[in-house]
Amino acid sequence: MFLPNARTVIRGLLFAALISVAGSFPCLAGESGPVDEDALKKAWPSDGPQGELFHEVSSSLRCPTCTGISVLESDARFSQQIKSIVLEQVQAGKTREQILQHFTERYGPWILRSPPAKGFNILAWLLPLSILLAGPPAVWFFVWRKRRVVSTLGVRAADDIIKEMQARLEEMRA
Amino acid sequence: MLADLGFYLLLLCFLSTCYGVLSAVLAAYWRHRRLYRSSRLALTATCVMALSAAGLLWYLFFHRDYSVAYVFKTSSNDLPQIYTLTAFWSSLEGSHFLWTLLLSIYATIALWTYSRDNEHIMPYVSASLQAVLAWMFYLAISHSDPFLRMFPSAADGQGMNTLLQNPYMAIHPPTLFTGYTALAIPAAYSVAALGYGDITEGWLKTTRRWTLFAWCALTAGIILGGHWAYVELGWSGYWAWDPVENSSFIPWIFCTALLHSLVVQDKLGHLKRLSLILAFLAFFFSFFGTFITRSGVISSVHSFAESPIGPNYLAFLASMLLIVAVLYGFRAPSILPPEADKAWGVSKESALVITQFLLLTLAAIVCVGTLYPIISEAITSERTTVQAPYFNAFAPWIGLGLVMAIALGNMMRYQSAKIPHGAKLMTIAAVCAAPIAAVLIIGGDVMLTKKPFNLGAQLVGLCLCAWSACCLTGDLFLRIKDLRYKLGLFFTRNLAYFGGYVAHIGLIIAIAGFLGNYRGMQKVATLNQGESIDFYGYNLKFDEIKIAQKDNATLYQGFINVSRNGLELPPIHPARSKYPTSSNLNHEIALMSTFWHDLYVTLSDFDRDTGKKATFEFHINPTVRFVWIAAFVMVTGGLLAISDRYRGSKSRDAIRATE
Amino acid sequence: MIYLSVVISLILLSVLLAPFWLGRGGLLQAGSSINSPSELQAIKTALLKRYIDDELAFKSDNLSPLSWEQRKSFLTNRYIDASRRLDFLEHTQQSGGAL
Repeated sequence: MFLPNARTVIRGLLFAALISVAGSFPCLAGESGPVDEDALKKAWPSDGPQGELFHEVSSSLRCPTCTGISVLESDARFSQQIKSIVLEQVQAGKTREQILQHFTERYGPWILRSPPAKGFNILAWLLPLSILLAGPPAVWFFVWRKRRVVSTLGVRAADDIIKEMQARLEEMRA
Repeated sequence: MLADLGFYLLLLCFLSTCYGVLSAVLAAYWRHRRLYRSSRLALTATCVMALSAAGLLWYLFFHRDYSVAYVFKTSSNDLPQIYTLTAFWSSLEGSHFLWTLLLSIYATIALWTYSRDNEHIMPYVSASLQAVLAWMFYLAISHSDPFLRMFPSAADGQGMNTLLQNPYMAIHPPTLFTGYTALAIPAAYSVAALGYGDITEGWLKTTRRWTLFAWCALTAGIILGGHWAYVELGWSGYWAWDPVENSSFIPWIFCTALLHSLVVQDKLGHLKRLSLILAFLAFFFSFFGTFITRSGVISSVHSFAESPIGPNYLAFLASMLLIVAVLYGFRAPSILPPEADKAWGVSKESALVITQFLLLTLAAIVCVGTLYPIISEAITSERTTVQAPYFNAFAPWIGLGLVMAIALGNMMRYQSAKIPHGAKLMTIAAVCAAPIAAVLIIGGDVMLTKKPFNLGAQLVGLCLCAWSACCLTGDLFLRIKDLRYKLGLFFTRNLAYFGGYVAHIGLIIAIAGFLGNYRGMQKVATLNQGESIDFYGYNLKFDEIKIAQKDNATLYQGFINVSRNGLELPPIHPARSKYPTSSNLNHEIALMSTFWHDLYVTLSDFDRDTGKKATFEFHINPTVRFVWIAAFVMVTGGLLAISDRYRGSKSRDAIRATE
Repeated sequence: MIYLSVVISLILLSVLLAPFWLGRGGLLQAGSSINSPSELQAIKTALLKRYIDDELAFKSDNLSPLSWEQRKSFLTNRYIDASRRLDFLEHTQQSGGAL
């Protein structure tokens, strides 16, 4: 029935088995069940350098069970767990790179919301950049550099044809 | 029994459209009027039969006939009437059928409201539209049959996806699909022009109307979808660069680019081939989007099912592309520009080409980002993720370019390197823009942004938006002045220009609204009964969790008393809802919306025993309302441009001038 | 139910076949299937004659201003289309190439 597509996507990953027990849209709907007292007590910091680092890191990690949103925006159980780990590491004084490295080692680059510009993935960044940079010179070179002469194969402009038509009509009226 | 009748109707639709394609192709070849009229009637009959089948499906839904698999899957006895209506398109088979139904309706309208100027290409139009329809009906009867029976029948259904039980789902899919399917008509006219071998007079007028109509529907549909995500999903945003959203955005970009190339074609007769290509690609990508989201190739919040139709889609898309490419290869050489030599230089038409470039680059980036995970996995067999941060790295730059291009391009004139009163206009615009930008910056509390980059982006963005809007208004004033302030004459002759002005202002408002994303704030807090927190001038005091019943849902409502700067405001109730057919708790967000920002509150968790303690997420989302206003303004602009009766036939205007 | 299906099918069939007996027959507006310059010349002249006729009809009040406007733009558009086609054919014949 409505199994989440996320299932097929992350099949083979560490926590695939766990996900299959979760509901259809765990990322959005949260889960029912007994209340998690720990989660209730814990509130994510929103101010100060630690809060900023926490926000920055958790918004560049994807929610494993959802599509499109980060762990920061999601309250699915996995995202909550990831956020706890991020918070612990932030409080332990680790830097952004170290924390991201930690998650990349555990889950692969898949956990990052944008592909790291390394190896094959550099293509994902170079492609748009090259279009943006090479586009204007190409347009200039092919379109504006010279007066473009296109063969219209003898076909006249509509205005000329209308003139011809008016002339012939005058002739016929006379 | 009724379900069987529905299936039979779909089968007849398939046969009828197949006949329609055949007769239209022969009618084009022989120029046989009776054969063509028979083909048109085939499409009309298809439309009537598809409507009857849709009526039957709704009948089955309202009578809770769970012997039909689709009804069983997407509805249940507790479903309210309004959502029984929308359950029709809440899953794959139904949304596919809605697509087909709307396409048959608009195709029929297009064939009956044809202009006599286009009579000679109508058989081609009929053939292309019915070819697409025939394939859709083939899919409906083979792989996604909404009337599929189920034995034994059940007493209650599995229920509709609870996320879709939202009023916006009643109008968002039909609006968006209207846009997608209306794009079929410019595409069909392009194929017809290629089949005929020339763009004849009258082609532009019809194509322009349908493109504008599709553009309005797409704009409205996309923003309605964003609004649904904003109020239903509870993650406090309206756009996630999710594959489904992207696949609706790409056709919109192509449609916008097509409108701009049609403008050049209207004024100068150039960019004809580009228009043909863009019209086809806009429709192609609306199909392509359906393919990547419905076939399970990419997972997404919105892809509600997987089905075996993927390979079918791929085969169809490939053959559509191949046929049009071959046709283009043979016929494009006879689609000719009006003059042999053309100096593009610095001129309005060049500015429009730059706009095309920016729009198509954006489309390419969105496309690359959406498809990259598939490509990368196929080549390196390593999974990657491409989400918002990737798109957000590029989109603002394109947006910046577009704002500049809108301002400069509109002030320029065709075939002229000079901007009339250019320096004066831009200076006055800058002077007028300063107070507007100041109001936007102070009113929106922009200076509270902490990160220097985000602050700079907003300052530059808002100033440019204000300047660009002032330049546009200045140009509008110049045009009215050119007509000696005769407003009547202006609105009869230049309604299309005025529509464009309104739509561009709408886009600028939208961009100003998007800039608010740079300064969003959030706070998570666990509150006991009677505790309160201060957040961005708001004082929020938690009372308790109460249980309420609304339609078929049980709501766990958090009661929060709100005051701002000592002023008591109405209380808000962020809630979680539980539906009988699902074990999940959905978000029912609380929204306190003002002109400058939204206070957006979700209930994350709560103590289920006492209801005296709860965790909330508080968000301040600046200038979200700008985006909703912008959608309204843009669609109004599009509708104004459609209602212009003057535009579209150059020769007619030329005749008036000679008399 | 079987009867209903048969009835629907028969109605569909009769609708599809109706145009072959009812309504106006003949040829659709000329398309690029015309490959002879002389025929196009004839079409152009015929269009001009129709234009003059309609103009006379309009002047003698047999044609409403609105329908005269429509006739005029329709005939002009057809004239432009035919001329463009003719230009194209004459050019290809002159340069000796066949498309």
